[in-house]
Amino acid sequence: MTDLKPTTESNRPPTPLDDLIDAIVDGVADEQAWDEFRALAGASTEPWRRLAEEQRLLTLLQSGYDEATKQALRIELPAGVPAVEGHRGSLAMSWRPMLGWAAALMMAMAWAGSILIPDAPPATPLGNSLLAQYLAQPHVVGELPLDVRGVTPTEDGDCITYIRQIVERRPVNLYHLQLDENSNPVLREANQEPAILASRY
Amino acid sequence: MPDRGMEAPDHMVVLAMQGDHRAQSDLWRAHRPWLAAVLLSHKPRELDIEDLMQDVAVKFVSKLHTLRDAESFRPWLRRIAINIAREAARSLKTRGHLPIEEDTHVQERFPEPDIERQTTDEAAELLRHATTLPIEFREPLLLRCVRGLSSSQIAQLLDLPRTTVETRLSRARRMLRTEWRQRHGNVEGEDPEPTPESPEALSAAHRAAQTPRGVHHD
Repeated sequence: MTDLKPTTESNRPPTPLDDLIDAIVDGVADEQAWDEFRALAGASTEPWRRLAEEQRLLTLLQSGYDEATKQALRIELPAGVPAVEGHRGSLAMSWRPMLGWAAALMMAMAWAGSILIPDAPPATPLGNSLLAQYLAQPHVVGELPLDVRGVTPTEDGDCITYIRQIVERRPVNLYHLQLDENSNPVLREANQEPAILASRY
Repeated sequence: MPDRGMEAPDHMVVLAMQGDHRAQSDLWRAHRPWLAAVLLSHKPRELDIEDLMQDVAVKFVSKLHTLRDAESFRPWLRRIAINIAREAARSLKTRGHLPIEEDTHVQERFPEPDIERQTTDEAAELLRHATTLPIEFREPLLLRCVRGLSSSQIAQLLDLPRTTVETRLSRARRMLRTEWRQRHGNVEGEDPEPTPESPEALSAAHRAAQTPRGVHHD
């Protein structure tokens, strides 16, 4: 579809009737504006027809807009995406993982014997910084909760083994451009098995 | 009813900038409605608005602490949405996406991604026309579809005078109406196209009975 261009009709300055109709369909017309509209319309049906037309178009547009944005308006902030270190907050960022562990340790002492999942991993500040930058990349959707695989007692206390799960999204070509027996280009469906896709991307 | 988009007080922005998760979440929900309109205005048709919204959400969380002052929160957030939509458009060009609309086989398997799939035919078609308006008309018109957003608030978001926004809205509606009439005839179906002199005749009649305007905005 080509882009709509301004036409003579849309370029002309608005008439008082245009202004009144705009105010009415926007719901900001008061009683006086309505009186003006009625006076302007007089015995003619044309202004009323235009008002009805405008209201129907805007209702239709509103309905299309509501449907198109319905899913987007349910999107919440992703969990587990840390702020990327910037000109502020660097100190807090580097300490945050440690604070999480300190809290976890205190709770572990209070509830002896229970296994706790840490809020944040005990990675080095450098590692966390790099990972935070990676998590802010456009293709990274977010991070899933830690998948704890086991707890091993050590001299310094319990050691938890876990998997960090990062969710990424990449565009894929679901169709291949190939040549048929007459050397004409044709689109052929690509294999969309997740394992095949994973090996390609 | 969707949440309203422009009422987040500055202290909530400050809390969110300091890393308060609850404030971030509240702020996101308050501003999400108009962000959707901005994305819909700037995104390429081939891309789902939901995907771009997720990208904006990630950027929102990861970059909020870089905001210099709470006052510039809305322009900052709008800029993020516009940049993400433009980046997506560039990426689409670079990848050389397939001409989905021209291939019936593909169209059968994968119907048009977001708008047509979800809306009634007429409403979807009208929205599609709206998204082909020039950007300076398209964005205010789609922002006007966000419930509860007034002309003043749209003007504030776009950093334009309110009168400019109202003029653009008026022209956008006329462009849309003209296009719709060309494709479908009159919206009401039976009445003839108004004669070109009708607006002037009505205007003259109005001037004759000139009274102070009683139109209240916001």
